Amino acid sequence: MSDGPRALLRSAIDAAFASVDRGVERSAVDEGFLATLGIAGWQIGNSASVLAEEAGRPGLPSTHIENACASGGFALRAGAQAVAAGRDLVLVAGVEKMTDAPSARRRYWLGVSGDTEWERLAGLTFAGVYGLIAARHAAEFGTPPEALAEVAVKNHAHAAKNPNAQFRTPISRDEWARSPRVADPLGLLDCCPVTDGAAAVLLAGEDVARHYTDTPVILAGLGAGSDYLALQERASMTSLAATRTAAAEAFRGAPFDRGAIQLVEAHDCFTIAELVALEDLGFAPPGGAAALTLEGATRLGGRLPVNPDGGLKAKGHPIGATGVSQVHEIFQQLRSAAGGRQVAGAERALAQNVGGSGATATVTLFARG
Amino acid sequence: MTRRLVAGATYRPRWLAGGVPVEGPDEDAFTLAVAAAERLGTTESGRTATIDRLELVGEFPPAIDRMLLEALGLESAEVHRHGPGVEGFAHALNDVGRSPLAPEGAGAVITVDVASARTEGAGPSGAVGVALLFADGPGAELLGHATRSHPPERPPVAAEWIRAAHRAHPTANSSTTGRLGVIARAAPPVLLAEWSRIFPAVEPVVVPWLDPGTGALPSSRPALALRTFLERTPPGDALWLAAIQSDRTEFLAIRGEGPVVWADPVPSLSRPTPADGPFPSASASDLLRVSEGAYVARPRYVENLPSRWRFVADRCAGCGTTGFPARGRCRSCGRSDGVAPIALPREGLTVLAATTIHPGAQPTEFDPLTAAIGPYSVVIAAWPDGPKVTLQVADAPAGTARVGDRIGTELRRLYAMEGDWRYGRKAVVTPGAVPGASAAPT
Repeated sequence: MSDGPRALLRSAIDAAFASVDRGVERSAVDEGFLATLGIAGWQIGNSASVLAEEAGRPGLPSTHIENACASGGFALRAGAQAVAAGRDLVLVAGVEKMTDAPSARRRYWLGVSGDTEWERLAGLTFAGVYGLIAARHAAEFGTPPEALAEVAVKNHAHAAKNPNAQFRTPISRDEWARSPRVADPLGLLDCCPVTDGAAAVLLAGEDVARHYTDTPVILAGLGAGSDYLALQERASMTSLAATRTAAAEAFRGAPFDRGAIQLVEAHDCFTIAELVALEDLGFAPPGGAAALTLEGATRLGGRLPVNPDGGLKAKGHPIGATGVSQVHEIFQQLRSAAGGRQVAGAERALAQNVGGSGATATVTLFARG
Repeated sequence: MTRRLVAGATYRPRWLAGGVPVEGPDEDAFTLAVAAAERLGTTESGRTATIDRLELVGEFPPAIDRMLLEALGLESAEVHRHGPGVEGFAHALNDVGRSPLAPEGAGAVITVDVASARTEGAGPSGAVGVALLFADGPGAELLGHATRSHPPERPPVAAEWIRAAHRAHPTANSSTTGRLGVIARAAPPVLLAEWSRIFPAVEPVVVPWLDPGTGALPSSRPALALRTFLERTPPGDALWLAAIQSDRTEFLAIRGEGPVVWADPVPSLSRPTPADGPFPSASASDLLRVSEGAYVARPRYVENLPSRWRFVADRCAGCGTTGFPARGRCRSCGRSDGVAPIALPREGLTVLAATTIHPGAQPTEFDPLTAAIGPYSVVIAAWPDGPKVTLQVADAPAGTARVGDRIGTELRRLYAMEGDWRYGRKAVVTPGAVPGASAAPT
């Protein structure tokens, strides 16, 4: 039998503690945030206490953060704000156990974070919403299907180098083209999978962090934004205003600009989402991400590697864990510990985490400490 | 003032079974009634009339009164229900044509036949909705209604039959000119011979109950026959409709005083149903489907009906922005005072994006629909002044709707949940299928 949500959470938290160079007592943790959607009904309410229990730190003041697929990014933000408010050591973890439920129930739950009153009643789940985004993107910019294929092929190739990835087998463009249709123009290989997973990170102020390690990763910018829940109410269908708002806030406080970013963890729940993300983050003009992608710039070895861990597409998308997992990847990359998928010389990185189809989003900037 | 039949409209589903129109998987008596009434609203008199009573003929669900008033935006109209068939139709016409009404009021008769509800009779049965508007103005005047019972499966006695015709039209005599439409499985020649002796200037014409083109339509057949005969009857002539059933005859007498305007018919797509039979009715297990997680609770569904069924939006008096759906706050300037509801048009939207949902990608509420028709399309479409709406596409093969298409909309079933059907508007892409329905303050 596969691990349940408690076991997943426990193993991620244990790994986070074990990764502290000079070791850390669990009693030093003084605040906790748990990101989870509670897919299929697993402990929807009050799950923060599970974090304290599985951290081996019963009694820890803990809060459950839920912003759909952006829960992890917002939990990280809450953790950073707690540190800024005076906490010494904050545990931020995310978990999702998605394969427990039968497929019909899972399908039901995959739509709970979309707009239920209009999009769902029209017969849409997220695949359908992103299908509409992709269709509109193609109508406005002539985005070729090959660009979607390249995102899928690239991220599967990256995941093959990641021992923590769900899919470690590369795919070809032919396989992408032959995959069953889901929500036109998106097929099965344009969609992120159903994933079990957990991730955990420890946050501390810089002076406290230096006590534990000589090579911390610095949170250099923190941004968040939101937008109308339903696509039909947004000004644009090809751009996520929440991402743009979050990126503007993150860079406003950062000591470097977009040009200094060397790798991106983008929220590629569907292939089109990675293209839209690159445009909203300012790495390509509107409609320009397809060209950037097709020229190979976003591959490992390219000038701006995107999702070196395989992304949501191939590493997997355990909803509550995803935003924290992006931070874990960046932590590895900026400490030159990413093994075969290491981005050479990576010193500055960006993570973008999106809730649903863009109703919420965080953008976080990181620098080698 | 005299209430006359001034306008009419017919809605026929676009699906065929055995060559006869039948309701689609998302249509029922309610949606057919709304479709016919909305088309009636596209005629000049339909746009201006204040309907204060609705006479329903057919088999309807128990909550039909409130549902129809909401769908048609009629807050204070009375709803009267009549049984299916020609008796129901005759009584409905009698009630709306001769009852006292509010000074400016108008009445509408809506007849509906649903193929899947037919239990009697042989041969194919069809589905149709017909709406007739009675208002002050030139049109066709109802002179009277009479009925005559006779032993089951035996023809009426000719003299009795003629007496009933006189009851319906007391001033008729041997010099009266006009037509008699006889709706019957078989009209006994003796009746027609007697008729021609009494009313030599009134030509009898027999209309079969079962029209091969439209199927057996017990409630709507007389309304459809009425239209046909009115079109052939000069002003001032009398028109009788006599519907001979197994044990009774209903007589209606009408006189054309002016033109009756009919809304444009819906062009048929001639789309056979997958099984070439009516779509199966919802099963008990569909109706009893219970939410497992995210869903729109009944009170929230009801709260949204003005926007969902009639496209009611917010119009801000401060900055002029139109926001859909109505939520009582301006999307642009944030004000909640001075925001008034306005109904956006039901047609003339432009498709901005389209996707096709393949089996497996639908929310589980739509599993029965997917099982019936396979993939379906969903679009986001925009009104000319900006607001957008997400709509499932009805009646067309998945993939028909394309970016840039102009669409209309129809009220349809969405899915069943916790004991009742949820309804909402869907897009229809057939060019010219949907008549122009203009914006009106609510």
